[in-house]
Amino acid sequence: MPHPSETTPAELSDRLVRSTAMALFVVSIIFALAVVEFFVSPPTATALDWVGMGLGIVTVVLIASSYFGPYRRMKPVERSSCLAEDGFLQTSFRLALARSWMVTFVALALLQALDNMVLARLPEMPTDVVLQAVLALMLLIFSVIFGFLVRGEDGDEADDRSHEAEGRQ
Amino acid sequence: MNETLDNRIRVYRAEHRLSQAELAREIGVSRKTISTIEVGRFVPSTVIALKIARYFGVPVEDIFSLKRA
Repeated sequence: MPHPSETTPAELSDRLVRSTAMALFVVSIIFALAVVEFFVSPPTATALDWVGMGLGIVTVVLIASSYFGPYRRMKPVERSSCLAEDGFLQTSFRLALARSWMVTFVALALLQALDNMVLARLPEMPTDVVLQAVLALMLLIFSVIFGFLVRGEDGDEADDRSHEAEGRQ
Repeated sequence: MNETLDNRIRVYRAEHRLSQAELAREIGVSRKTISTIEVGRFVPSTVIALKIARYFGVPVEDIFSLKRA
């Protein structure tokens, strides 16, 4: 029987979900920086552009380390089933996506309703900047909700470890 | 009336001298999933609940029950 600490498809799936969520957070920062670039001076905008590119590379590395690392070692059957697995992190990921969509929708509807108070005070923005702002908002809300849902440690890991040690004796 | 899902996974684990990681491996889920179910933070799907019950060889209602909050 393999040792319990050995990585299983479910653990790899958890790792994949975590790194995908982390990558989405980084993407939200990239979109937010692209929006900020519109409001700052050209030299600052150029500097932010470089920061955005750096974060883009971080995102690619995060995703690549998940897909081309342990994920690649999985059997095809495991790969197709692990994303559909209804574990804690996978369920939290779906819940965070649904809630972020809902909150973004409400936030946009409120902004629309309060047109004269908020939107009218903002400078005229090109469509692509508005879209980047909405995407940044949605992904940021997703990251916050997902982080909240999976926060902290659960159960008695310490007790669990001592039990494992006991079991091996 | 508020009801929460109570479970006796920890009791069964202790009886079978299993760690969370070992049970997780047997069921095909991650350790985090088992630990969050145990503390009542995550309500498992029917499939996971049935897999746990099948592993311990008991009816699912022996492990999971509804408790008034």
